[in-house]
Amino acid sequence: MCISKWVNHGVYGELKDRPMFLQRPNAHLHVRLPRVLDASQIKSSLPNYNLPQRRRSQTPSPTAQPRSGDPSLSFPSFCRPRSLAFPSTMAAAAGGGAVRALSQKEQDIQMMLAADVHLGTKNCDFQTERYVFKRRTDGIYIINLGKTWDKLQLAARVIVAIENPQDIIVQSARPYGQRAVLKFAQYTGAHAIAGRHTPGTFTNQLQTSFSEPRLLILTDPRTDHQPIKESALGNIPTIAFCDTDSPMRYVDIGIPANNKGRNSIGCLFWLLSRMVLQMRGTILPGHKWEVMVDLFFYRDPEEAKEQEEEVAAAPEFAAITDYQGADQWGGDQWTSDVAAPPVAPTGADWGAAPAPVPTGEGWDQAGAPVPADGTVPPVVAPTGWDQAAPPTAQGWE
Amino acid sequence: MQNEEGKTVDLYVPRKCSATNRIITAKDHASVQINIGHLDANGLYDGHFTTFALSGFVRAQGDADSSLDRLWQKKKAEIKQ
Repeated sequence: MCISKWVNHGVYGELKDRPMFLQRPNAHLHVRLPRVLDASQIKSSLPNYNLPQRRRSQTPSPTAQPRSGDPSLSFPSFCRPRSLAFPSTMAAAAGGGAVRALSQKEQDIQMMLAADVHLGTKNCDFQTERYVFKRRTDGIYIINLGKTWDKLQLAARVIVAIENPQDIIVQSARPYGQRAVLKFAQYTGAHAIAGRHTPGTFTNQLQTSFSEPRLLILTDPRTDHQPIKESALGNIPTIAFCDTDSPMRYVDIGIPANNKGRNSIGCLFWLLSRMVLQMRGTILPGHKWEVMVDLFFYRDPEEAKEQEEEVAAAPEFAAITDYQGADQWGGDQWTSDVAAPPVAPTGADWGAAPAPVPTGEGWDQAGAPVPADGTVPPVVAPTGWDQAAPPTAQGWE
Repeated sequence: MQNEEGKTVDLYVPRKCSATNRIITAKDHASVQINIGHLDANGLYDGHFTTFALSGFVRAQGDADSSLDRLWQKKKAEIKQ
C-alpha cells in the first residue's frame, strides 16, 4: 500500500514537471520507473536492457522442434541472424555432407532473411532501439529477427485468444499489403479492410461500415494513423508491424520488421497466419502448410496483364482447332466426291429413259386429240357473236 | 474502498494498470485489456489466457509495447509457457 501510494505520487509529481515535448531521457526514466518496485529486479532487468542480444531474453518456443547438436552452435544463430550460414556450414563439414535439419524457428528466420525483413530505415525511434541488431556502414539499421519471431508468436497468442475471429480487423491502406491482408483474413476468419480507412469507422455509429472490433492489426503505424487514433478512443488493442522509425504511440504489440517491401509484408502475414492456424489446431503440429507464401505477395497490374495475354493465347489455339474442324468438313466433301460413283447407278436409272421414250410416244398420241378439241371451240364462238348482232339492230330501229 | 470492518462498499471497483499501477477510470477510453493465450506442450491453445490491462497514459507515451514485453516475459517464466 505504502509503496504503491509513493509510486503513484511520484508519477503524478513527475507528470507536472514533464516538459511539453517528450524527450528521450525522460522517456527512459519513465520506462525504468516501474522497476523501482522491487530492488532485486534492477539487477536482473538492467543487463537485459543493456544487452538485448543476450540469449536469456529469447526463450525457446514450445512449438520449436528439439534441436540436435552443440548448443553453442544454436546460440549464435539466434543472436546473429546474419551468420546463419556458419552453423549449417559447420554441421555440413562435421557430418561429411549431411546438412542438419533446421528447427521451425530457424527455417522461419531464413525465410525472413530471404524476404528482406531485417532491413530497417536510416532513422531509429528510441522505442524501437531494443530491436536493432546493428547499423550498417551506409546508415541502415538491421533488425534482430529473433525478436521479430518472438513478437510474432506473442501476436499469434493474442489473436488466438479471441473467441470470434470476426471481431478482429486487419487493415492496410498501402497497396503492397492489400493482398496479404485479404489472404490473412481469408485463412484466419478475420475482417479485412483493404484500401482507404473511412474516418469514423470505429467512432461514428451512423455509418454503415461502423464496427467495434476487439483487436486491430495494422501494416504501418505511419500510413494507418487514422485507425490508430480511433482505436485510442474506443479501447481497442493494436498490433502493428513497426519499422525502426515508426511511431509507437498507441501500439500495444509492435512487431519489428521491414514494412516497406512487398515480399517482406507478404512473408510476415503468411508467418502470422500460419502461427495462428497452428495454435488453433487447424494445422497439425509437424505438418507443413500447403498454401504457398507467394499468394500473399502483391502483384503489379502489369504482371496481371501479361498473364491475361498468355491466357488470351489459348483462344487462338482454340481457333486452330476450329480450322482443323473445317478440314474435317472438307474431308466430308471428299467423301461425297468418292460417293460420285454411286451416283453413276442413278445415271443407270436415268439410262432407263428408253422406257420413258415410249411414254413420249404416248404423249404424242395424247397430243393428237388435244388439237382436235382445240379446233371445235373456236368454231362455236364466232357463231354466237354473229347471231347476237342482228337482234340488237332491230332494237335500235 | 473498504469500511472499518474491511468490507468493500463500492459497487464499481476500477481496474489498475498492470505496468504503472495507475487506476483505469471509467472515462479512460484509451485504455486496453489484452488477453494472451496459453499453449500446451503441442503448441495448441488450451482456452486459458493471461490478462494485462494498460492505461491510456502508458499507451500515449508509446511505452505499451515495452511494458507488455516486460510483463509477458515475467509471466511466461512464472507459468512456464
